[in-house]
Amino acid sequence: MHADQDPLAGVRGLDSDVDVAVVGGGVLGTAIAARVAATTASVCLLEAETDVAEGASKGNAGVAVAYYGPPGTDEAALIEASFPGWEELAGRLSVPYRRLGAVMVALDDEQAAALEHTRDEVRACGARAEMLTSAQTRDLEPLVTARCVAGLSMPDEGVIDPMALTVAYAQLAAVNGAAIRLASPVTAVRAEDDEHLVLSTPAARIRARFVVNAAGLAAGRVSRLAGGEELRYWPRKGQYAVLDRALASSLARIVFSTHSATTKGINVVPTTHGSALLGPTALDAGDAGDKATDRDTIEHVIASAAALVPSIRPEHVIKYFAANRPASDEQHRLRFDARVPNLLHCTNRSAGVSVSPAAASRVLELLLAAGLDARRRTGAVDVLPPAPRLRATAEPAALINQDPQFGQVVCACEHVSAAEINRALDGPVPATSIDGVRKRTGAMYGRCQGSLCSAGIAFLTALRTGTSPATVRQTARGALGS
Amino acid sequence: MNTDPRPVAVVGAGPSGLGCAIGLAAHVPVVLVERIPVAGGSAGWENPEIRGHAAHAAGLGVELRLGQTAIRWSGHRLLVAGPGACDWVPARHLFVAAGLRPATAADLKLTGDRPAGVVPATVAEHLLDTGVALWRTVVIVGDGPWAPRVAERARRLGARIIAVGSDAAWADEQLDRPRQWRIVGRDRVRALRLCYEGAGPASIDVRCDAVVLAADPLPNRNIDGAVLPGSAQVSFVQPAAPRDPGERFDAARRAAGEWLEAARKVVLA
Repeated sequence: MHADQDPLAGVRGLDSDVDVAVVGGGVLGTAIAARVAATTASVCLLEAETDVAEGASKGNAGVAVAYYGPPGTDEAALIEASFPGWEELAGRLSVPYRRLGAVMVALDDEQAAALEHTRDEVRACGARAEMLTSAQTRDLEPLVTARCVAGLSMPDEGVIDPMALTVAYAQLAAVNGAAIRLASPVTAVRAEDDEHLVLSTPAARIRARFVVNAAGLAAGRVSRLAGGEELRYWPRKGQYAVLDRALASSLARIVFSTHSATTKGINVVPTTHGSALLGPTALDAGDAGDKATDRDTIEHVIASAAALVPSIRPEHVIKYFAANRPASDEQHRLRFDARVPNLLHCTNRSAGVSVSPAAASRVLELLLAAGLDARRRTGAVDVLPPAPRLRATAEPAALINQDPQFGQVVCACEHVSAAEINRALDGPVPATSIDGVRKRTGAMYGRCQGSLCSAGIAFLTALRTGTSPATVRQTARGALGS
Repeated sequence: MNTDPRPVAVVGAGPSGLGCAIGLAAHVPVVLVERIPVAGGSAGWENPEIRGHAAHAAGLGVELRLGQTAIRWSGHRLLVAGPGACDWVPARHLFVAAGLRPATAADLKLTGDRPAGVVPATVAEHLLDTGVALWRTVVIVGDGPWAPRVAERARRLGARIIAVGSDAAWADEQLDRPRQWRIVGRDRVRALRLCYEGAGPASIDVRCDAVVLAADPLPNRNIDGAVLPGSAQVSFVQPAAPRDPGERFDAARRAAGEWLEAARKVVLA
């Protein structure tokens, strides 16, 4: 039964009656919705913002990690279950992914000693790790500083486009019948009976047998609304600088700084777009809406990155941004609520991307064990159509012969074609803002930051969303005109 | 000089690109690639001088490839893509005359929030050209060539104009460029915060509903393999000054002549 064709909709003042309602359109919520949508159970996803991937799933370094912390935790188990499968999953979902491997760099003897501890932890987490001499480290990544005294090779680490992944999960959910309800903040949750919760949003009321709370930083609020446990989440702000791909594309590996007892430090992470992210900082703050960067912090980020890779210079930085990840007393929370038996929490402090494949499967297992009636649905789609990129194609002639719009370059820096932009504006979970196009295609990511192309993209977006250049959304929250 | 049969590739058919192409075309074959379907660049396609130059270039045998984008330079070949077409153009040298763009927030070390309403001047100009009033109070940062044009259009649509960091006759109000600045406003820009050194208040919030980035013209560098300086195969003809199209044309023509002269010396040696 699919939410869209729900026979109960309209009855009892309900807009929808589903087996599972997922709250939160980040990487975890969308992964869960996709997993459940592949079964006979009906599912809807509620996202407060006007697009998916608007929280921590938008502002992160894009590392699909094989190691994130000490072994023996549930988080480590989910990462271990997820990391070997990235090539297969990313291939199925047409999401850019590269298993570049990482080198963790020690800049003094104290850090070198810490690396051995990390090596043991990585191995205990089921991933590979080898200590390297300074020379071996620089063989693996020639751009690493000559001041490096030792390194740790971590070949299972990879980079992924976290926004493309989140959008792809949402698309997979949608093509399998999940209702994706955007601009739908949950305003109330009421227990109808022992087995059903009714969620209210400004536009709809949805009855669900189970509610999965994957609301990230808002998960505490969702739990409270549902009468669940008092869960405490606070924003951990990270600032990043983006390095021009003319320099970043020569990076062969992810370069991690050595973890200390208190911080994972500033890293240099090549992106699937060819640029590199420098960061993040970590500052616990009280205000989830604060995504401002500041000059001192950005200068610190660039200087720390340059300590690892000395060819990095402030003038190679093309953009700054900040985002908040959901810190909590339970770093990884994947369990039923202690008070509300059909409310299941699923949040992660920072490794949401990396746990998402296995976390989604775990959520489904827990729901089945709790009485969800669902089987694998025959005919469920598990592959999304390929999403070719002009820039990633060595010899684009064939692509352009197939569809002439691939030859129409709109974003001149990142070489994003009209075909790619129109595709982002169509499909099951389309972009509805200029920023939504950026998230899906990488257009406007480059060194001119949209100076050449964002007018054109604004017109295309306005056309597809039935708005005008004055009213078209520039970001998920704000229009181009005021 | 003429032992190499390959053409010289010129990217950008504005005043500089046309100057290069015409300077070269009497001596070497030239392929001129332009992103949009008409020549003119910053001077505008309707400019009569530009039209004359484009006709002159065509008369000299320059192969004009309009509506096509140069995306990659590798091994003396230029990858050029257009709607329904794509090929590698062999070239002995590449002139990049792809014009200028306004400095980005990162170029300006402009930090703070990243809300809607902060737009590059090039984009603001296009949007305002539709004749729709977008903003009430516009802060225009810098004095690039776009600044007066954006101001004129926004004012015609009823906006108040505040200039920061330019000697602007076109502004209702003017403020000096500060030591540091940041954007304020979460969903939509509310102010540009300016921090000056010395006496007076630590910072001033300039209230606005749009910030237009029109500062410090920088060269467009968007051909992979021809972004960073230092290659003998690539010449960049994207000076920030002069701004006058005729002077830009002349300067580019001279640059092309100097390259020809240097190439001739190499052959003789």
